[in-house]
Amino acid sequence: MIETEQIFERARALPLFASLSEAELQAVLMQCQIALYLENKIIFREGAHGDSLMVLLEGDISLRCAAEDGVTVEVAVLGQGAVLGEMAVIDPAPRAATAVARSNAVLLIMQKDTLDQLIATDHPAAPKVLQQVLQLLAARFRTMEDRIEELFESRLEVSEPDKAQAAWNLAAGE
Amino acid sequence: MNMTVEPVFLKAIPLLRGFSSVEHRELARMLELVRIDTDTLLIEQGSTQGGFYFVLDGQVRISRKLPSGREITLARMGKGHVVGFLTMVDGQPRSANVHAVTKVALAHLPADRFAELIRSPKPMAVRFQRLLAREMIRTLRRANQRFTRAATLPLEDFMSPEHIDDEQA
Repeated sequence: MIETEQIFERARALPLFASLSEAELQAVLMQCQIALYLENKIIFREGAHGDSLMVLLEGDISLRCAAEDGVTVEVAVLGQGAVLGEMAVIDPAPRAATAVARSNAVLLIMQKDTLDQLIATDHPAAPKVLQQVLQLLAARFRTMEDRIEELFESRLEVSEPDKAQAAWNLAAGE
Repeated sequence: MNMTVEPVFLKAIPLLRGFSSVEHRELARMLELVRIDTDTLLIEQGSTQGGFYFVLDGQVRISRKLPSGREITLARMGKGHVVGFLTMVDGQPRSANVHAVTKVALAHLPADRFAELIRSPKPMAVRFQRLLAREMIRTLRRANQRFTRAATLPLEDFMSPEHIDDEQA
């Protein structure tokens, strides 16, 4: 299992904290929690209230969603350095998936209150962390738009493209 | 000729709710009023030009041209919405076209000023950063829901009224 010095090292290497000075990083990490999850333990459940950002410092996590008929589907596997909950830390909402430790996992957790506190006290780390959260969100946006494109150019295109296009446009407010 | 944006216009923008009058004035000084006619292309997919816009009046359509040549609507945005943030945040080319559906009045935040605003440690700027992040998250969640429905529901169900979003909400 990783040690305190390694936690700092790995946190320093994360894009999320890349622009922080050493003092700012230490101030932020002092306000975060480190959590250890043993293999197969549930980190959070789909639908549970989410208001924290998590960074996977060690191990693998499986994200699973409930599908129809009570079947659970693995939608993603995340490895070291992955960020979860970057939306929840800004705008709390029910978790979109269940996160399960696939191996023993170490997580760095930043609560919404911590980020709010950094902002409220005009801490110099606040705009730097927010800047990185915006970058993460932009990346999620690009991925979403690519998936929409893929959906139209494959599945829907093959069956009834005009109808699919009409339905999509209708749902988009056309 | 560029015209200034009256701070009072910014009060109607949900993204800026919680800003004080002083902050509205401070932000208004960074903005330029832009008026465009119906059918004008405001943002071109693939381009890196332009800036970030608050829609003050009228309606715009955000659409994406697919490799097959087909064009799909991603959203319609009206008064109080913001457009053009993605390229401003990540520096990558515009992912969609933005067209004026009606005559449109916009408050334009030029790219250099946007860059300044999202890096600034000033309290007003930090508040803007957080509010912009929240706006992006809410737009993303709506798109996610719509995508899931389009990908999983039979077309007839997807087209039924209860599955249609109200982007203006």
